[in-house]
Amino acid sequence: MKLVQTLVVRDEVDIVDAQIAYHLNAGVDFVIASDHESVDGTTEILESYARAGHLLRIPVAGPVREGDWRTHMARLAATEHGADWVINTDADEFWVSRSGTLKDTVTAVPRSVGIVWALSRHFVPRPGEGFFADRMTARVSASAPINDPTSPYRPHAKAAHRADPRIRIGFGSHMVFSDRLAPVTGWHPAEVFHFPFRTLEQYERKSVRRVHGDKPLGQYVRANQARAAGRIGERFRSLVVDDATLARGEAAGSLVVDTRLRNALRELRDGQADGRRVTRSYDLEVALASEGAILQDADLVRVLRAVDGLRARVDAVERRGWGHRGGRRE
Amino acid sequence: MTLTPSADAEVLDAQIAYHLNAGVDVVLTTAAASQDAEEALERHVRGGYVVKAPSGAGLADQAVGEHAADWVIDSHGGEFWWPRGEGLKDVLIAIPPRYTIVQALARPFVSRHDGAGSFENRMTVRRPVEQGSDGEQGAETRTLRPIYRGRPGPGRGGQVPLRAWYPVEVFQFPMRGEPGVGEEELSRGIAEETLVVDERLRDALRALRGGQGFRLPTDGVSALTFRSPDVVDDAAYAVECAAVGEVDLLRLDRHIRELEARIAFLEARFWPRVLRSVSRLGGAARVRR
Repeated sequence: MKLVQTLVVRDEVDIVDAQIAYHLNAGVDFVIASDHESVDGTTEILESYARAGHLLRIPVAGPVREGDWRTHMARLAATEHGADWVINTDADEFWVSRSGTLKDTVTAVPRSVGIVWALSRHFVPRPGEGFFADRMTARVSASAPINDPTSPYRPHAKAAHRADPRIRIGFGSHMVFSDRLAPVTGWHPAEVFHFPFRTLEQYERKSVRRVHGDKPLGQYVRANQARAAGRIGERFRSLVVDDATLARGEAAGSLVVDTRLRNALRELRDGQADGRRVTRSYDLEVALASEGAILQDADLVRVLRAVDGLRARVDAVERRGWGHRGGRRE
Repeated sequence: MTLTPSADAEVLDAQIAYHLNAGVDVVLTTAAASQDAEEALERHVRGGYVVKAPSGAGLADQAVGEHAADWVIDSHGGEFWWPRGEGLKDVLIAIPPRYTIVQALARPFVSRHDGAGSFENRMTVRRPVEQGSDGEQGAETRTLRPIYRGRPGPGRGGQVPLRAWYPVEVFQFPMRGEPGVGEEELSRGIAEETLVVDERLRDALRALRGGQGFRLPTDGVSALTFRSPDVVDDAAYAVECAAVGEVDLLRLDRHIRELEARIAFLEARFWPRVLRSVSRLGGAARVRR
């Protein structure tokens, strides 16, 4: 069984080394990385893994074409690298299996199932400048979906799939499209720890880049607007969770302290990791089931918003005269 | 903002000053129903922030056509639109272009029996979000108030609302003379959590009150500072948004069935019309030959 990880990265030097080392120790056999014009030292880190035979670096340039790049890498995993399963990641995401290694997890997926989703867990920025995983040990655990299109904490999931030379990967790897792989939803065999904003400098750089990308999400539009008004620092500080806010969030149940990644990375640094971290516990299983249900609610909202878009298009067709006579429906 | 002016001069004056500081560029309105309110309105007209029209009809179109509004808030008297961000513009500019309506969550404040002091000092208690019930649309209509993206052209067909998240709250204050609530009832309601203490507008208006009435923005700089909600606030607010009950499987099913019926209607009309058109064209060609 071979597990291949794909990665799209640009200027993520503060996190990318930990991300790749973590996944190689968590059951990933090989990494394919699209390096989008990195200039901050990310390229050198990728090259060091490539020299060790763990990674293929694909330089990409020009406007962001995330879906195309991910699709190319996922297909390459199937055709050139003998992958059985593929996980599609960003540099700020860490896949954590519910028990055993990631390879154990995907190996246990029934043969009839070809696509599964890992539940994203959003970690909030915390004060300070040190290594992100040492600082960022609090994550969002809302009891209802935050459906704000400008929030970085909207519930979502990331797809893992069996190797398929014709697979197509959607934006953000939230959706994948295959004519031969059967998906299973509502069951999340892994979690994705997500660290979207870590420092002011990284927040500003990422927001500027993404607002000009192929899908300028509301959170980046807002950050860019704050930057234009000279208030980017203020905006970032409003996202940072200080100790008082953390205590308030813990009391309300909307923030929880989760040190699993911090501990795993510390063990890696100390040379103690065996990749078989057991994360399963009754509390975690209950929380995962609950947040899985919240994700379903959020997906329902996404579907209704899409239906609203279709309805507006039908309105437009009707107004052109196809559905009305003399301005009134027949 | 288009505004149906309140007859209460105190509320109207506060409403205009507050919204100009919250990010509204211009207020379009009509004559007020009382002499005091009319005088308050005229002060703002002279300041260049308020434009009066002879009637309330077509104000939204005027906002778009003559004032190049990107968004239009249709406000009633006694309503204060509160952004969940650094200002109304800050919130609205980040809304993805596909949405043409943003919905604001109504926060109805209760009137108090003791009538002393300014209205914002008297009314600092409101009702919690009204729970939506299965398929009942009335609750939504009462709970949500639309803000429209400015688009040229007649009508408001083809709108796409941002559902299930309400980036603006609208504080609704009862008009003078509406039945009030006694102190004992208020205390009991707060203790039983059927009423909520909410002092945000009171604090904002206190910050705006100067020696000669409310302060207005100076050189485009607001005299108000809005606090962006943090993730803990947003998580709590998400529970309230969910309680509105705008999205569930039953409603989704209803929306899809309605859409299916309309598409079926269009399909039934499409081919006969194409065939008639082809037939007409064919006939014309034969005549020319």
